[in-house]
Amino acid sequence: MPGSWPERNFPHLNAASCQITSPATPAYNCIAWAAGSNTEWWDPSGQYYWPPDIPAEFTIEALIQLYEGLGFTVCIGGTLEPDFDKIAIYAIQLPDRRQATHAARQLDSGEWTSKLGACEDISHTYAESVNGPGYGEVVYFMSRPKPRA
Amino acid sequence: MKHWIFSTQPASVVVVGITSFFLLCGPTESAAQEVCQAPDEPIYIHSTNQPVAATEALERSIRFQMLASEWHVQRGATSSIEQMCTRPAYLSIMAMGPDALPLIIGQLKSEGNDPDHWFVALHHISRGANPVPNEDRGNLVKMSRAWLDWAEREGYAR
Repeated sequence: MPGSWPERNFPHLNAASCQITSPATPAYNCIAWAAGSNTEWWDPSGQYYWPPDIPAEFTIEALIQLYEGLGFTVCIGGTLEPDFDKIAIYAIQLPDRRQATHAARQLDSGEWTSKLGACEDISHTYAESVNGPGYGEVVYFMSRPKPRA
Repeated sequence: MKHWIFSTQPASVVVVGITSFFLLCGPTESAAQEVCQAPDEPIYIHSTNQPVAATEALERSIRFQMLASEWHVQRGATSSIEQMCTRPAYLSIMAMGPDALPLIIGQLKSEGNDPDHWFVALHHISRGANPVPNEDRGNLVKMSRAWLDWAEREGYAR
């Protein structure tokens, strides 16, 4: 793939499983992108946007709370359900804990979209397509009813 | 290895030459030859077989650019600012201390409407300055503007 991300961290990304959907930019990250924003970088480190009342930490628990605040609840899997928006939360296993790394959002087609740090955003066939040494694996799926048109 | 240097100002020939050579072309002979071919109508042409003594400021500038390039590689695809800003190259930039401030500000200015994540370094080196209004946090263009205004007020902008 011609993306700017480190290929070794994403062994499942290839021309068949992913497509670049916008150029690399540091303007927004996966946490914002999964929530539907492409104008902000969401991070708990203090200088960036982080929703109020959410623990200021890049942890699985904080991300679940963050997306719960946007109407999502933890669900069983990432199978497409037309009446629901879905996101996936990723973490990597460290010796003493699981470290949150990434969030992705399901598209209406059933594919997924990810913003890879300050690199490009991509669409990928499965939520698990970005599993690997960089992001670890999906640890939670969350869903919310789609807003009525 | 000969380094060809072009300038319309003889007095600035050393700075222009070294900066172009290291920052734009990289340390290869073929790259240096590209520098020779780049200008359309040079007025002054100089060459030297000896390394030119660079000023400390120039060395810092070169080092900063090298570290910035390394950082872009080292940060990979992380979305965590903590992870992004604890990569060795970024830490090395912060370790440059106040000398790095004008370089970071210059870099931020050059990045225009696509600013990069220099804010942690600025906050650290400035010993806690935080000129970004709460409502602008996360919007990198607005954060950049706030820091550039701060630099102007503090005399770091060039």
